[in-house]
Amino acid sequence: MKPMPSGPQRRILPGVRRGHLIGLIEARLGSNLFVRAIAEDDEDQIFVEREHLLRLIEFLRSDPDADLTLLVDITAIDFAGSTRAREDGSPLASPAMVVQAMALPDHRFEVVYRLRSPRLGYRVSVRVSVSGTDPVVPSLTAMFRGADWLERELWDLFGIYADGHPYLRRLLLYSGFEGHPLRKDYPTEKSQPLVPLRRGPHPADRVPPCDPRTTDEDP
Amino acid sequence: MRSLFDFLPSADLPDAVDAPGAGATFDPPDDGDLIRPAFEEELERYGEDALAEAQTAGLAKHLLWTFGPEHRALPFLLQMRCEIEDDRLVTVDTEIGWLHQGLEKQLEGTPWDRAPALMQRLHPQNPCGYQLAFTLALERHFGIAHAVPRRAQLWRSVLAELSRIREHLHVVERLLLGHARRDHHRMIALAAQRILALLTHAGGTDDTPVATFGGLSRPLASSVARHIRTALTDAMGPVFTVVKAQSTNPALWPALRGRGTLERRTALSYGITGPTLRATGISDDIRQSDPYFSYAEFPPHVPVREAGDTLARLEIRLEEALASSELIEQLLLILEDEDGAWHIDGDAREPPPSPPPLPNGRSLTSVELAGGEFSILVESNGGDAPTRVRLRTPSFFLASALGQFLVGCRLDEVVPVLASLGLVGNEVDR
Repeated sequence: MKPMPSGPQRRILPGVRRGHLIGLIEARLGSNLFVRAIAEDDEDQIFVEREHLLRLIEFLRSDPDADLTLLVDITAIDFAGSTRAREDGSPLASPAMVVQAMALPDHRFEVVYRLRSPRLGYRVSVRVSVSGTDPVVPSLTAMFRGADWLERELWDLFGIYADGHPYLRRLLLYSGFEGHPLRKDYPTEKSQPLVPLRRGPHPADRVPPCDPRTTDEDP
Repeated sequence: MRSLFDFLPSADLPDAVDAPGAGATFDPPDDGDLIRPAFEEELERYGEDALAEAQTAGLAKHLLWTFGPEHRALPFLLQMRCEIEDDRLVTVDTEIGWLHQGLEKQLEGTPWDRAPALMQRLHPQNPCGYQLAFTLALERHFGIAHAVPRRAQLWRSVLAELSRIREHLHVVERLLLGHARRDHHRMIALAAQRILALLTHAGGTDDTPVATFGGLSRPLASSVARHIRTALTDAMGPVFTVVKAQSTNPALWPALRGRGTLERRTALSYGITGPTLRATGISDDIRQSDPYFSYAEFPPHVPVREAGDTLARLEIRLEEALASSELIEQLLLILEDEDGAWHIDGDAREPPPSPPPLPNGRSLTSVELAGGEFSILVESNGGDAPTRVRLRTPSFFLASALGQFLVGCRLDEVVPVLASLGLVGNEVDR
């Protein structure tokens, strides 16, 4: 049987790349750009304030030693009602939970941006905490076209608004749906209003873009 | 049948609206440019004389075409609102969500030991790869992924590769329908059936996944490995024939060349992975960059093309199917003589009376499925069910970039371009 050809071994494998991106950011942008950073074998975790998000992501995308040109995912986690620390005071299981416990109590959501480099193999998760009263994050659509649908899904399922998105509206759910289902306070038994069946294109089908800061209505 | 041009025989067609650049799909079509209401309604409203004097500027500039959401030519329930000029698509606005089942919300309320079975809802026809990925995600969450026995990891790699071949052949079969010789299409269909039989023989299509938390749910005997290895050559024979025919005659499928082309930068910007990204010249594969199962020990061959068109995606899928079959052969040779443990708890294990609670924390797992990177985020705070599960599926990003593939295509090219992407509807909508 002929030997199996092996693929190009040019990437830096997990374990070797641990903490590399954190060191790169500290060296080139300073250590005060992020709140906390955790080096892990698979994917470094970087916690950043909302105001510094765009600058950090742009650096990670454009710097040739990071080259994080692939936006893997944008998602969110709702911590409403969850236990952030053990009640008996015992230490938490992972450093990540320590950071969450340190977060301000009104930081209900954590938006996670995952990037990686197909060329170098680096991976990073950039995390931003946002409050339930002001669930707004800056839009990445100017840097990554894939952020368009991801931010629409973020709005649709979590009600987190991406400031700067060119046309923010629901993605998976229909216009007229009430609420944001992946929030922890959304009841799974909630009934929804019936809407008439749309038959083909109609001017009324154009859904106006949403801006929760100017209107209370969902698009 | 009368048409508008019966009344305006000498009317000049209006000047073409400047078509937006490729990929300018952020704005839906302007309703002011829509084709007029039904011709009969207009005739009744304005009368024949008024129509004859109508300004040419009032005529439609582009034809608005709504494709879907239900159409036999579409891969799943998907609506595309397109503007057409002459016979080419100018803009494409995609709407999804008809198959949304709230899978991530369901997983939040499902005990973790029952969660891998829910992965069948992502791809009912071929769920094996997704179940393997979720099992791996749970093992990483518990911190035991490194302790799973080698025999179980080898079998998982075999199952993953069989599932990959099956998915690739299914996509190729759809793509060649109507665009290739009938015998080539029949050969690929035959190979796909044989691979399905082998996957079933290995337990990859069972209702209860054969790969379970900690290893395998039951031992797979050496005879199973021997049978699959001997039958694999026959199963892949037709694929070899088709690939050889295409390599000796590059003009075999002219309708697929240069269609649905995607550039490398655009693919990266949309987060596209898998064969579609590799067709643009980027050698990216999670099995190499973040090895799991047995891929660190047996790195797979990753084919790459530069053209980025439908033909390149087709060639990559065929070549990956062949590479996977060679990898499976390597693994099965070892498994025929491998008699180690098949579960982390030993061979005579008894399932625990109730599964332990999930540990506090978060885990991230990425695997390479046939369509690209499938990533799972699991967040938990010590309960039986995770508090958050995020499923990052490759088809979602392909669907978001449909405008990039289709703008500039003729109407008859839409279906083969869509088929070449291998979109899975439940992956897009979840």
